[in-house]
Amino acid sequence: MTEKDPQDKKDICQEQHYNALYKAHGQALWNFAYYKCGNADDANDLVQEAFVKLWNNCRKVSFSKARSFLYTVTNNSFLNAVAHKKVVLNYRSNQTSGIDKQSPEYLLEEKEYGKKLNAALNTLTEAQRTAFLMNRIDGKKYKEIAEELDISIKAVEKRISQALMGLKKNLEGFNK
Amino acid sequence: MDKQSLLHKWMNDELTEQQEALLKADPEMDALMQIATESSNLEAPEFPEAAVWKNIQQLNRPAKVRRLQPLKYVIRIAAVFAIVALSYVFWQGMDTDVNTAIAEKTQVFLPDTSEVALNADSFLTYNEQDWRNARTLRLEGEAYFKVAKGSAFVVETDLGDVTVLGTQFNVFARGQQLKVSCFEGVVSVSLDQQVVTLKAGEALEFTKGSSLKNLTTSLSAPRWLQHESSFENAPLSEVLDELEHYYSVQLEVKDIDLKKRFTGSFTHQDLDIALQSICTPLQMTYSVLDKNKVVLNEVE
Repeated sequence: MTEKDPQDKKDICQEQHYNALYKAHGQALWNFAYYKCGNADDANDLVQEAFVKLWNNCRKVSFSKARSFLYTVTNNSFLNAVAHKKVVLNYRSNQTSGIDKQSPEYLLEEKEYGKKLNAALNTLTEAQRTAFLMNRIDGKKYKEIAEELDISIKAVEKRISQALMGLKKNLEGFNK
Repeated sequence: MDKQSLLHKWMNDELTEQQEALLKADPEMDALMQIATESSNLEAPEFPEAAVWKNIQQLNRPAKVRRLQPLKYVIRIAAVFAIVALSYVFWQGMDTDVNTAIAEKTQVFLPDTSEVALNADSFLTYNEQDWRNARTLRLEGEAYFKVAKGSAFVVETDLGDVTVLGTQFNVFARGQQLKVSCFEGVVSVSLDQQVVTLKAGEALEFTKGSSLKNLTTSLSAPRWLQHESSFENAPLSEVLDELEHYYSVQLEVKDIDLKKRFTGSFTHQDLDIALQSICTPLQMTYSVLDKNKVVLNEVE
């Protein structure tokens, strides 16, 4: 007994709705792809492929299901193609703003820490890293992550716990 | 509630400040929370939103794209199969395009043994597969045709269509002008407002927005085939326009009346001689600057 989602009246085959989906989910999907594969070019390809698949299947996918379709397609493409490639991620480190202690030592420490954090993220599994960063960088709640990855909330919790433990272990010994 | 569950609630911004402070009291939790906070300061690289969208649009609409985008994964494989499987079918249905660059001339042999000499800076297109049913081609620029006898042969241009049965004729279709000369046989030219029939030795000159001129020609073939352009009482602007199809130059004219009339010809094979042929009779001089720029002046 599924209630009809009023959004489903929007036909994805119509350009304006297809465009709207890109505007709404493009960025997040790209981040998602980036967390998985760690380079912009591959992320571009994954996102392009997902949207092209959506267009080709526009008759079969309802508007409300489009988001999970995009994430599933992206995940599958990634698994098919890049799973065995060694992944080296590099995130831009956003300086913690508004902090006054900008002494050279502190700034150096921050930069060093950023590098360490990047390296530590690389040691996580793709599943752990992706779930973790979707929460941390994209600010997504567990419920949303669960929907997009097509797993239970408990599974999200497990991946993030593992991510935190993994990072802590890797960063241990760093003077902070 | 155990600490792990509280931690997850905190990750989701669902704890109150007091609850957060309580959780932080535990050193292990505090360490994890610090890592989590540092991690939220990270940013993914910038999303190339517009570029990715452009690629998506091109991938969705491959209609006239001649180059394949760098595709990966499933789409690349599928595209290769599709191209291999359908290439025979596509090849049959595709038009044949012939382009000449500035100063380039070429010859085209049509499937029915008709011959076309294509002048410089021109474009011709026809469909080989359809040729047996209908001999139709599209021309922009200038071409000389030697048509084998057979069914109606049609040359489509922006300003009108030229129809023949078996004959030799020249078509000039550039800008606002259509000029057709018939050297042998009979040619029918249909313009917007009228249809004109030309016999051997007859020619017409049609300028859009202006009149239709009926002329005669004593030539047996157009002069451009001998690498020369000739003019009779033509305005200088027309002569200079023509020059630019045979030489890659930028012409700059200083204080010269472009409506001046020119009778004579210029060669396609030597820029200096060509410029002299035009300038001397009209009391002009020219200077060739670098980067293919030519400046024309009145003689003082």
